[in-house]
Amino acid sequence: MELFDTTFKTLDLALGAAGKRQEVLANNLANVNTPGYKRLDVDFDGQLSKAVDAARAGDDSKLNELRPGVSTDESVTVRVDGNSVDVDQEMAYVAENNIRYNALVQLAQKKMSTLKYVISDGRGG
Amino acid sequence: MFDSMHVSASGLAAERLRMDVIAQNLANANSTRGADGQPYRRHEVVFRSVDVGATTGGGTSESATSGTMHGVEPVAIVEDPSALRSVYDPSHPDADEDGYVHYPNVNPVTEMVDMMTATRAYEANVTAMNAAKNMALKALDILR
Repeated sequence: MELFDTTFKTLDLALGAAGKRQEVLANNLANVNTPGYKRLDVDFDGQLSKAVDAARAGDDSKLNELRPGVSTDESVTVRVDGNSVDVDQEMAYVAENNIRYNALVQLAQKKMSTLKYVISDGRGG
Repeated sequence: MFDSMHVSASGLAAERLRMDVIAQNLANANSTRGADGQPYRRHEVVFRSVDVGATTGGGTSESATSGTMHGVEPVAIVEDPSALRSVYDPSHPDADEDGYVHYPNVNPVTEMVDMMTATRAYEANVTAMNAAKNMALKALDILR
């Protein structure tokens, strides 16, 4: 068994993706008054579920090449000045992303404490 | 992680500059004589987003997979070319030969609305920066 298994790798990727998404959301908010700016977003969930589906079907190569990709969001309505950033929506995303990040950190902590417990031969940790 | 704080900082700086320009417009709402002897004209800030390559292509293009965000950048402060406000006041030292004084094209209502937009955008950037800060602090807890 590997010391740092797939769970660790995926947690690492997911934390990276959440960090990246925060950067992208901050960029959207910074450009809220830039005419013609189109909001960007990171779709890690979609990629992850595709990779998990593939892994269930026996192909876990996609899990290894999982990367958070930044893309232009074309699904939202555009204001008169050509800008598609909605501050309320972005704020909701920022809050959501923050909670997700905290949850991922807690998972990583749990994983670490399990590892510590095993290293200390079951005598607490 | 610190990139998002830099992005938010660029947003804060840009909105603050906008606020400065709005204050300048309001302060000069009645200045009939500028440095060039002409009435003051309303100024406006032009913003530009500085993310590289991320906006090229649409839909699910992932050309900028690792594209770093660079936030916003003020590129220019331009003068509003719209018509000046003319008031008939022959006794005014800046009146023209027909007795009209040309006042700046500053509309206090427009400036107030712009000021509110700038304030709200500033607050949004502050919130985003706090979120990034909390995430960075939280990450330090992983090895605790």
